[in-house]
Amino acid sequence: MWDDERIEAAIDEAARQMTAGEPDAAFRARVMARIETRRRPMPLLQALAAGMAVAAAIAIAVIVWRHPSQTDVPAPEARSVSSPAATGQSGPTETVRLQSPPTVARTLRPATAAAAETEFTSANRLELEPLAPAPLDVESIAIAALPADDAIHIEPLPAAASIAIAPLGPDNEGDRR
Amino acid sequence: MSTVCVSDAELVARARQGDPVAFGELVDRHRSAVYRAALAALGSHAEAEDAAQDAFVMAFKRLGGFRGDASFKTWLLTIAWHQAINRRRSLRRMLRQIVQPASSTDQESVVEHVAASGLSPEAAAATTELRRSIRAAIRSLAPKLRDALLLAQSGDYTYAEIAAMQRTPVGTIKWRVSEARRLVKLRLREGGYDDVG
Repeated sequence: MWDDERIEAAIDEAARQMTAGEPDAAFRARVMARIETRRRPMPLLQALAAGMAVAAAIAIAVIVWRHPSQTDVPAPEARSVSSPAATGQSGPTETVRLQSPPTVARTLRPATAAAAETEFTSANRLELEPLAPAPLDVESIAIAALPADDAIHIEPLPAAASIAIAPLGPDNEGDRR
Repeated sequence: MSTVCVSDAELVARARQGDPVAFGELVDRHRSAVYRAALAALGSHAEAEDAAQDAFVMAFKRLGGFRGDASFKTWLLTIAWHQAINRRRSLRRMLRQIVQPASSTDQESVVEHVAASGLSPEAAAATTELRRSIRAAIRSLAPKLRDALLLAQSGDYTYAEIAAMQRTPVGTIKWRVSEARRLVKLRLREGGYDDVG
């Protein structure tokens, strides 16, 4: 019923049908539109915004370069702690008294980039009033003396008995092989 | 300027100089060949359309690199084939579409076929069924064999063009087409067409 020639023709026909088709007439327009989109220069508004962003970045970089950061925060002073032990007192009761904190004169720096544009001279520095908090009094701490423990008795170990080892005789040598 | 009698090489030269009309003419001349190659690889008209567009956009971008060693059509088909194959690889659903049981051509009416062929209703129904079985057998082939068979039978490409597209020797392409036909016949026999040679 299905001769070879007919089958071959049917295969050809089926394969042709599977690749049959053609893009519509607007295909060329769609391709050219995509190409044009790639070639089109950046819109004016986008270019303007990009230019302004670059200019702002350069301006900030120049300002920062011309006015390097000035940190006038002094090194923290060591806190003085007075304790009776340090003054030669002894006993279970100790009083810890904190002295007044050191006076700190801080120079405030402008936080924002806009404020950074102002001249940063000594005249602009803001001096803070020294802080003077009242000294702190801490309740005395009473520490009771620990009771002495009983002595620990250790029983002495008994002396080990000596071990007697008989010397090897000629009769035993035959067993060693 | 009219582009009707202008060769591809001249159009390429003009397109390189920034003439969009020249490249548009190249698109018109080769859109069918590019589209069918993509269709052979992808099995889906929508995907073939996208792949064909991608191929032309890519060709425009690479136009400066076209040396003229091969014809513009061969060069363009090579780009199109690679676009289509990359798309096929990257989309898993493409594989499902290739083996889908029914397409629009599978639904062809027996009545229409009878009217067109002049066959008896029984013979027309049998022929329609045979074609459906052949399409299923072709879809079940390994991709390399299926691609070679579809491209060769589409009538749009020479063996040399198919070989250039797939970067494979012409002899290998011919063997693949022959092997694909043999396997299709084998599967028809297995499917009940016992007297297929």
